[in-house]
Amino acid sequence: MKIVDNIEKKTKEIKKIFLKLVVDGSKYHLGGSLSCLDLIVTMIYGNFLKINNNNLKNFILSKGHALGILHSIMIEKKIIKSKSLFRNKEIGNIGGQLDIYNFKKNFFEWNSGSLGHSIGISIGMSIAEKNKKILTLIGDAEIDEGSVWEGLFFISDKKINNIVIVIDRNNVSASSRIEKKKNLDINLLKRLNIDIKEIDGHNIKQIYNTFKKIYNSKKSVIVVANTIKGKGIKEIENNLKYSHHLPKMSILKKYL
Amino acid sequence: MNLKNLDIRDVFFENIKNFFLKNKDFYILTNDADVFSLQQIKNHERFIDAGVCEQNLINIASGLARKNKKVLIYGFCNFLCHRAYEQIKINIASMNLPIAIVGIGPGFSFPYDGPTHHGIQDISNILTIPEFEIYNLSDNKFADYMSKNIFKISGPKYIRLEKGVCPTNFKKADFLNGFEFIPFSKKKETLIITTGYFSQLVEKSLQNYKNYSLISLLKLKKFNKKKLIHILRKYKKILIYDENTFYGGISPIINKIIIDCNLIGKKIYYLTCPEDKQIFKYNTERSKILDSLGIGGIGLNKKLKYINKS
Repeated sequence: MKIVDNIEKKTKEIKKIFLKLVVDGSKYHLGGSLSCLDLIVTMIYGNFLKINNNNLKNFILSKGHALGILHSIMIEKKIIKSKSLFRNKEIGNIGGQLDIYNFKKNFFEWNSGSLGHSIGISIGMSIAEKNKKILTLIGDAEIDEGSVWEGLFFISDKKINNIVIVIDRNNVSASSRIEKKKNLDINLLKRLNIDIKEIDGHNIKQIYNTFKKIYNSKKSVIVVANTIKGKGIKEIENNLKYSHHLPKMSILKKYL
Repeated sequence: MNLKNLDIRDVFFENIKNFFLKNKDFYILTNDADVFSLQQIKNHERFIDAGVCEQNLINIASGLARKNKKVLIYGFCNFLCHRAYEQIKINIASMNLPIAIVGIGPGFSFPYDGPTHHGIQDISNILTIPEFEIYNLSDNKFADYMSKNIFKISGPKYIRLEKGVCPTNFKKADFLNGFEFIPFSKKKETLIITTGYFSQLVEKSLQNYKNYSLISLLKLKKFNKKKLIHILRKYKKILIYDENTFYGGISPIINKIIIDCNLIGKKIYYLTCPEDKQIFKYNTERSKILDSLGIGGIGLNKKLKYINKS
């Protein structure tokens, strides 16, 4: 499929832009950003999310620490120049979490950084715009937050049918391995009145086809995307150390 | 609506209900709290009872407001302000959404329910969030005015709503100033500064003693500071009288003004809810709890006697 080939090409491009930003001195959470890069790129370049007048609508990046991927997409789409991004970082307008109000280019619709909020916010948006899909990408560790479950039960009880929740299931939280957590057991999620899909979060064709089906679905959907923290940088993949810390720049330069 | 004999909650929510029925973009959300005037609309699709989950409630409200809906949330002030503080701070305030949070049960207005329901620290929580304005409603006319104008006021709002039949002293000019000033005495000796239900209590408790003047704060942030300072300068003794704790209520607000405007030479007194430990007091009557804490009418009279002698 031409569109899938194009998305695959874009993932490589965005990854390079992202790594270049890091090598040039921009501090991002490398592992958690790379685990969801393929997902975000597919959502945007697969046209599941619309960008109107430089605004990315109906999407909440709950794991705000992965904002570097959105910055890289903005650069690729020529919404912002990397020079301007760095200038904003220098004067303190942009930091390590997604924050739209100090940033003049309101590319994003929602602030994030505190985990566990986005499902409830998506519910509000989905009630306000019943004919549109509201999409949120959450980390797997944030499923511990009670507000995630408050939101999931509300969607299930009230039959809210236009929300897509993508879980970046990289099995690593900021400080621990979490693959055995009970609240991430798919059988538990299946008891809710929400469709569940499980995919390989790095297989572009599978991500694209799943989203295509979901966008025609009449129910809200949880997509459990199995991913690898630090995907694509062999030296840091699945390594707990690189949740916050950056590796030597010489390692990253090899991938540029 | 005859404002004189109605419970303040009925005054407020009756107007809200009328606005709701006329405005298709208006949503009301609650955490399973019951209000008499809203019973008629409880099954409406724009009335969202999120259940007993305040975090989700605030998140849903935020999402609606971000999509340009008008949103009012009501529930017990404690559960909203304490349980969902992060959501209020990040999702409503940092997004600067024009949501109205209506906190019922301020002070000891639900006296039998103990510290879980005593709203004596909610003000301080919201006070620390810069984007929020706080309104303290304990006057039926003020409640009528606020409920009719609530969405003309931009930004996030926290509205504390008393219960019971309240006075009707409010004037529109007071809203612009953000406080009521009642100079009972021509002598510029003692000024009592208070807010909410305690404004009523001052007048009730000091019926035979008029040697004081009263300021009742209606807004707790964006009031007319210049005018307030002008009044403060005239008085020798200032008593801050508050149902909330010292740090949980209006005392820090007034203290800041006193320090900023170099009014340190004044004699400042406090009569506020004690806060050396949490208050596990239960009574079916609010006045009895207040008296047991030394901050009711008896305590106020004692304090004024002490102030007069000093």
